[in-house]
Amino acid sequence: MSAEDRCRHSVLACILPDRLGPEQAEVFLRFSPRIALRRRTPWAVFLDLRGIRSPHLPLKIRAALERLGIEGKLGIGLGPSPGDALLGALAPSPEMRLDARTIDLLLDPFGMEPASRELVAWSALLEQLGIRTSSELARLPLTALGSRFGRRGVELARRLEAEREEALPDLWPVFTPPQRVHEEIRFDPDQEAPTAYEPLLFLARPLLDRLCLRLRARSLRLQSLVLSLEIRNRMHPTTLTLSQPQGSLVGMLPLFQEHLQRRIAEGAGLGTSGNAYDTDFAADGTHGVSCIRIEVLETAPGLSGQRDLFDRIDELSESWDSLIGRLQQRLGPEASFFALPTRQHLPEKGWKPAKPEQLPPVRVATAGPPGTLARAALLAPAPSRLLKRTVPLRIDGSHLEWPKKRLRILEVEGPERITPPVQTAEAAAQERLYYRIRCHEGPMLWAYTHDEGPFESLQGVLLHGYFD
Amino acid sequence: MLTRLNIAPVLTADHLRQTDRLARLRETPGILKTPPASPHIEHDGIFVPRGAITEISGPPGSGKTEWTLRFISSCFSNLCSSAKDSGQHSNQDERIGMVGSGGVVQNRTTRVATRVAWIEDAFTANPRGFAEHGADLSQFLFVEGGKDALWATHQVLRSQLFGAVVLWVRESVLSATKPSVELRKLQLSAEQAGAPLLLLCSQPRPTGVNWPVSLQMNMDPRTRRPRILQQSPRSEEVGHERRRPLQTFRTRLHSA
Repeated sequence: MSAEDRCRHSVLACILPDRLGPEQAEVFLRFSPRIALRRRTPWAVFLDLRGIRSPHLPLKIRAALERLGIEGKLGIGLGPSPGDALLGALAPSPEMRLDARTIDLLLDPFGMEPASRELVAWSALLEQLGIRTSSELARLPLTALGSRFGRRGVELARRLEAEREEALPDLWPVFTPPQRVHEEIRFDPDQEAPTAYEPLLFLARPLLDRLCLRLRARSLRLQSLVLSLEIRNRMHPTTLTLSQPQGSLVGMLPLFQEHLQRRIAEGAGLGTSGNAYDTDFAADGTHGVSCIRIEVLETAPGLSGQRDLFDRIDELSESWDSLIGRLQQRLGPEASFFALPTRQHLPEKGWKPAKPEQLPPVRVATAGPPGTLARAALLAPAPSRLLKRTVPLRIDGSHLEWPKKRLRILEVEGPERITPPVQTAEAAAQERLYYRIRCHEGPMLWAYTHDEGPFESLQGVLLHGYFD
Repeated sequence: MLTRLNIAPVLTADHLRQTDRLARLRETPGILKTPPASPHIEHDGIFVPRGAITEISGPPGSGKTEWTLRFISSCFSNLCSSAKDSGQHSNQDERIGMVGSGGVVQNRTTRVATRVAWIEDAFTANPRGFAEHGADLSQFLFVEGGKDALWATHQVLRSQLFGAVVLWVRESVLSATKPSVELRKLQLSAEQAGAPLLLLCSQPRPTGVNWPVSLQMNMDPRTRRPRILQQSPRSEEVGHERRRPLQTFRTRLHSA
């Protein structure tokens, strides 16, 4: 291909790797400012090389692939239209047999649409018509494509048609590498570098503040970051992933503080881990941190740049995320939750935990006693406390005994029958008869048994909860 | 030389005045001029102080959880009805989702405070039972704090997102450190949040000088009703004069 041809015609390079991330795709920007990614199988990178005069471009691209450690095919197509160039890139030889993957790439090069069965049917139909190679496809009368193959055919015709040169460039999703946001502070060797947690936090705080401000300006919130400390000319990166995205320093700082504290404690300031961080920083207090660098790894959509003077809902939402983030980080993801009632008949399964982020930060008010769970009017409410494990009780006449207690029974209400919704023999065995037992000493207990009969002679009574 | 730059139009006070939002806010004085919150919440003839610790003690099964649930329900239904009386309802409220199914609106200060944090060290609460006692489960954030239950309470109070905080801890968790110091810290956090902190425990704590618990109640297991053991005179001033002790301390420092 001569330089003149490249200027006059559309030139497309297509790289078909096994898999490709945006960081790797960034490398190809040196060959063309217009690159596009297909982010599903078959993975592909398209480079628009129109007007680029470099005789050794294929060699350079191959060298870059090698250096990146990517194995994949490279094809470069030249044609009067982008559609022709694409066909040329995907099927370099005119006699090359078209497989389903190539047809998929031809029809939907940028992976905009979800893969469909229509494609398989289309490729089978092409085979039936005796069109197996790219040259045969190129010779196919384009006007007939629409009538024969419907929408897909028209789409293919649009890609191949020389006159509709603008169709593909219009669809081209220009790849823009994610912008990196990082802040760094480097200490003068003459100055005393921080060697302990407190000064380190003091110095890292403005960096965090600036990061939060920069993200806020882009309407983003912080999801994860890399904190790197340089000790003895060696960077020690650690990743902090937040369970809830944070948009302000107020929410971010406690999490960062805890992360830093934990890293320093883990690093064998206590002499337990034996890792590099430990030996460089904590155990050897003489070597301070010469550079602190915080880099944003992931972000989440945040608030709009303009603050609402009258409604604090955005701020509240941030405070809420910050609180939930702190609780989840320290206590674990399951420790803070909302409860949702379920339709299960067993009392212990009568509710299930819901993640706090599933509910809005501000509760909408409702009239009357809100959310009261309907229960038959004649039934007394379930107890406010349930034991995780039932405790066997022994009924001894007018007394009630369990391993460490003996209470006098004052009054017994029940039984309240709790049965599975479907009546089977197995279900009948799971039936529970619940009693409310008021004791002379005060507590009101909730116990059940599977047997029927007078309460005084019941066996196998299990304490399940109490009305606290 | 001045050049004409393509700058977005500046929002002036006139623009603001013209917006229907501000006009609506002006018409509803309840929003712009929120009356100061009462320092107490009255329930069952008992005045529970805001921004202070209320201790409810009683053996297991004496009814302290149920009393707390009734307190929370009545406390927030009062908030709803007061908002309804003040007539703070407009089409815009419907648009921004502040109107509940019954058409009750809460203003911007009270609607935030309808959440309740329920913190326990070992979780034994039965949310299903809570709902059957009339509590709205979407109102409750449950936290199982383990040995960090006190830390979780501090975090929840400092967030100032909750209208009430309930802490149910075993004696061992509080006794792990100095209880009076821990309670003092909690009291300061509660003061800052302006929310009542209800501390549920099995035994009433012995009181002393500068005891941080403002109201101490004990549940009678037979009647299942609370009786007041001690009410700190300090609780009278909670809410209005919260900063007074701090100011005194500063003055002393200054004079020294």
